[in-house]
Amino acid sequence: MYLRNTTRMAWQAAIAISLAEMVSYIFQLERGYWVTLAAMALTTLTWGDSLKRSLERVSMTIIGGFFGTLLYWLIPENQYLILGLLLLFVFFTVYLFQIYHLLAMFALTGFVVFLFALFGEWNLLLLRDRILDTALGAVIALLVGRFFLTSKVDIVELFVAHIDKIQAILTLTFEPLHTTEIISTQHLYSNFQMIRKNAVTIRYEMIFQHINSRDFRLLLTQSAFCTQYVISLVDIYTWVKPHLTAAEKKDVDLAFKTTLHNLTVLERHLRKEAHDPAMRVVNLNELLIKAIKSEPQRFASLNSEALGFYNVMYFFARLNTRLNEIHFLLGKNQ
Amino acid sequence: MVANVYYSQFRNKIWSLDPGYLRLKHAAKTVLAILFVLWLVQDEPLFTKTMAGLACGFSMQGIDAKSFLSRLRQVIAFNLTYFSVFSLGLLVRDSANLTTLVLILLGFLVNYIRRFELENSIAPMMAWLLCFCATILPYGSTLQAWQHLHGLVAGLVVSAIAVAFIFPENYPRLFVRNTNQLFHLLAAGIKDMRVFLIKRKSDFNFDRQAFVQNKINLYHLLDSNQTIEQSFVFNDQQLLISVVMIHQYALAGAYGMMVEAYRVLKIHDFQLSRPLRLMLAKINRQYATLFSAIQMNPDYTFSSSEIQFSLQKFSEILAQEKITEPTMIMVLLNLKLSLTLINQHVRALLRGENVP
Repeated sequence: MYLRNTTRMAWQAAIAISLAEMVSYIFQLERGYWVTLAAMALTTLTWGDSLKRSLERVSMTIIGGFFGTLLYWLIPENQYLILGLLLLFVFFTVYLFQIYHLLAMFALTGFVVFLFALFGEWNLLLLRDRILDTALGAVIALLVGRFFLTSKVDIVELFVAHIDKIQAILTLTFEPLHTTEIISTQHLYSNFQMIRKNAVTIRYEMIFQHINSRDFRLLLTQSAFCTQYVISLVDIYTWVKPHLTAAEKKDVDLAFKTTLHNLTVLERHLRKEAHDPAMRVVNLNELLIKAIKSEPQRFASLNSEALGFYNVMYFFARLNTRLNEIHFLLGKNQ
Repeated sequence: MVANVYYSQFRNKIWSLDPGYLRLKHAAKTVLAILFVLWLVQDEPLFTKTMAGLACGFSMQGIDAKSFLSRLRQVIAFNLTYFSVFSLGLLVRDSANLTTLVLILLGFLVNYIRRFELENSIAPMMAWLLCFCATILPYGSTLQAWQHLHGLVAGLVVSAIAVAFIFPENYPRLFVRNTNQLFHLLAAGIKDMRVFLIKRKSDFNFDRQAFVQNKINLYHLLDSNQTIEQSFVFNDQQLLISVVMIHQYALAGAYGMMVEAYRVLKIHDFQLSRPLRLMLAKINRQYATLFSAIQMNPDYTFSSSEIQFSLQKFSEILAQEKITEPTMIMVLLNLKLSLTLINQHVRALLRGENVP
């Protein structure tokens, strides 16, 4: 049955709160509300994200809790001073919450310490309860995320969608039928940025899978280079196109078709479908050496217009080399 | 002088972390609003003050509308919701079963309603938190809790005024400032490349060079500008802004190409001749001056003092070098191409061309 992400998250939150309340009731926890609060706050859309946030929250509750408690013991007992420090922690929690979640959790625990201190009742027992209850809430959120309506980042689909975009943008640039359209590479880059942002979540999900996270980081780096090369290709081709000879255009077309082939092969490889082997686009060094020997005067000043063809071929060659390396990485992990 | 450099670096770091200092301003505004509401209820009991402070702090989060009217709509809708859920929390706090039921149902609801353009909003969570706080705050009795309700009202009213009227975020201005910061970073990066060319240090980590790090900061700024561009806050200037964005991406792309060319030089340990290095250093100085001079105005036009330069001399020096090593040829071709692309896009921006 298809469920929207919001519905899925709503059910997960309701289940997490129910479990937290049940645990508090069964074990008669004095401050069971901390379990409920942590369970609700740490239930997020994907399990990887829940795991990341849980680790950050529990670790920062311990460190921030001890730091806050120490600070509370060190300062003189003055309500205004306590209020000032409480507001300082509020400031850093709000400032860092969206940009540096880890430190925001540290500040949040400091805020809790001084809020209780304002009522004159913070001590080591409360700190212990806070840490244990938060950890319990985190465990509940993780269990719910793992076993109830689990939502995972679909790594393959993310990459396949990105490859589709690369193919579309290359086709727009190099297919003569589409030359009248204005080509913008900005969405390609933002799309890749989205994958990169998701990478943190993906990495946390992979902790409990038998996939080499080093290879995944490498895959991400190779993909970043591919994106960069495609952007460079599109940017320069519109500029050097008028300077290309008919023979050069033919070579560029061949490189373009080889690249499309390699991208399709990669897409099929990612989806674990039968696919042809990847192809090398061109040995640029050989091409250059041959050209330098036959037309040395053409290379004398390294004129960009005259040699724009080699720029285009250079980026095609680099792009396909990276694609081949991605193939190798994927083959190795399978 | 050194202090100025460190201050500038610190400022750049903070900006790249939080473009426009929006989060910083919001945090400062939150603390000031809490202080103000605490001053308003200074003669009230501690519980009223707590209620006012918490309501004010929580309700200031979650407003993410970009235009004034939509922000006003959000403030009214969210604050009414906050008041309702807090009251609901007070109503059920005496019954453990009812409290559990309300927290579960509300937990479901606040996530379910995210489908109505609240996917990334923090407001639903704040609503649940306020209800949760109402059930756990240590009042002697529910009747006593109701007696402090004016603290909640004061907190919500102060937060509404602060969010709607005090230093509201100005996204078009942030776009202009980000763009100028982008030029500033390009100038600083290219200047740093010049130092790299002249000093010819051999024992260093390439990726730690400031001009390589700058590439990351450039894309932070582009991300921020793209988010603003997609927020449709520019009305009839939207098309112009989209084109400016394309030029900005192209400039960052050309800068990246330049960095990669230097990386290949470093990997293969190619030694450029002295005249070539000096020429490149001179060109880099000219480009750094160009980027220092160019500025985006509040009406999204660009201005710059006239800077004339050409790559002719560079070509002449290359002609004397007679380079035949293919990798070296490609590096120099890419370097030249990146310089040409930068030149082209800067000129297009200055001419106000609306087609890239």
